[in-house]
Amino acid sequence: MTDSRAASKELALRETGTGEENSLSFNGQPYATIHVSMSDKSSSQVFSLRHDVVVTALEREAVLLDLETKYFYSVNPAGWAITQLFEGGASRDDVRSRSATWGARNGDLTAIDEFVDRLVAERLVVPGESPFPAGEVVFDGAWAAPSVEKHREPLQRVMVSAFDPTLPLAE
Amino acid sequence: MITSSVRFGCGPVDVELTCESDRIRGKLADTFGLYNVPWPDPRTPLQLDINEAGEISELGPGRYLSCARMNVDSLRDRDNSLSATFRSGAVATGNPATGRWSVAIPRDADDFWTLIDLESLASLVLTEAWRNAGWIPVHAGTVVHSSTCALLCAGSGGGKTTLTAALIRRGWQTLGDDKLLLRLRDDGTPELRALVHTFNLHPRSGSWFPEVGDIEQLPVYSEWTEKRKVHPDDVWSGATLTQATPTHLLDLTRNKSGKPIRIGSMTAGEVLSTLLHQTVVPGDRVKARQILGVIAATANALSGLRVDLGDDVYASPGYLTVIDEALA
Repeated sequence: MTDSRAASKELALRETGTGEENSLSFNGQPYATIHVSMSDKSSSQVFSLRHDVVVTALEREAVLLDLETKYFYSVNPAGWAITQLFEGGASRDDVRSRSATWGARNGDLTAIDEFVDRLVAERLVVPGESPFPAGEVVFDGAWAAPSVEKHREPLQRVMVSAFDPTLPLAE
Repeated sequence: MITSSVRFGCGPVDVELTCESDRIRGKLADTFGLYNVPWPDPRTPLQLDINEAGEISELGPGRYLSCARMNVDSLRDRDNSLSATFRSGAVATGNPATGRWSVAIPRDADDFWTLIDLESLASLVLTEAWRNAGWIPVHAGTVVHSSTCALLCAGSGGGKTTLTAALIRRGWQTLGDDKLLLRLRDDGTPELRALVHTFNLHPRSGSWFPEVGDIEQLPVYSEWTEKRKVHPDDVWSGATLTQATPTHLLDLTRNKSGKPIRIGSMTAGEVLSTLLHQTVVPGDRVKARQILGVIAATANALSGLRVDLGDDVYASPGYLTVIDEALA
């Protein structure tokens, strides 16, 4: 696909207003304009966690921090399992098939796709292979739809000092 | 000019400062001297050498960290050393892993802004050294009563110190009013340590705390505020502790609704967000992951309460009973 065709596809989605890609909001407010190219929607396109997104696990859940935007996110157990797949690089097909082995059913596919769409829209995952090898991802417990919560307030970009993260006053 | 060195204990870090200027040495002695809580050996060494330079440095992009008057960048080609540049033209280069820092300041070193920038430098070298020693700096107050320890979170002027002092008078103790260190013990539980046993109390709170005396007569905390330094143990005997296990987080807000105090619960996500906003996260993956891991695990162990404080909350001791009850 050429760049111009990809661009028109984005435009068409915005114009129709019916695509799931432009319906995401946070606390009732639109939080992003989402550009999803046809290649991003391909089920075989491999995505990897962006290099400057750091992750920490909390028992079965996890927190993701985007060092570029300073936003951070909480993912539930299923979301954390899927996120780990992207640490080594995974396609939508990979995510669907692995989720099925973890207990997801056909009816869960929409929620899984929406979760991946959200990671793509937030640029937490980007197209391309990861330089890091994939580890074995284990999911135990009952399956529940993956979810990601974007926390409202990003971390400060400019602060008082290396100790005090509050916003500096004007001099 | 005679170059001489002086040493300061700042929590788990032992600072050796070498410089020519008496005024600069005095300024940094004030800054490092704030960290007045004894810390057991061994301590991590930190060496800070300050010299005058003929040329001033331009401000870097601040990709690692951007502060009001200081930008910090990684020097990837030099073992992940850091370069800190300042609006005064000063520049510092150091390796957090070895704790060696070299600082070049403009020849007009007595300039007011150069001295202000050296305060920023002190904050940078200490936070890097503390992290290297396994501790995460947290900008929050604390109150402690038996097995309950609540972190008090608010922005500057948000009421951390005043609430801490008011609760001390009700029998609580404290690790400090805004500077703490946090780590995870081997069993994964969070541990807080005190760094500073000095309060910064605003003179306008004097009417609530007559036992402090004339606050206006006490030493000024910094050029940026009217707050004065108060040693809580001098006023309330046995007020301070050096370590505790946090159990709660209080997010303090100031209301104008007319009610003296309102308390509400917080979700786990709100507790995480509030605590993460109390620490500085540099733009380095390894350090960010270290900080995020400690903060997220700690937040997971805390119960959160949103405490909305009215202007007259300290007018009657009974108003604070709801905090005692909520933390019981």
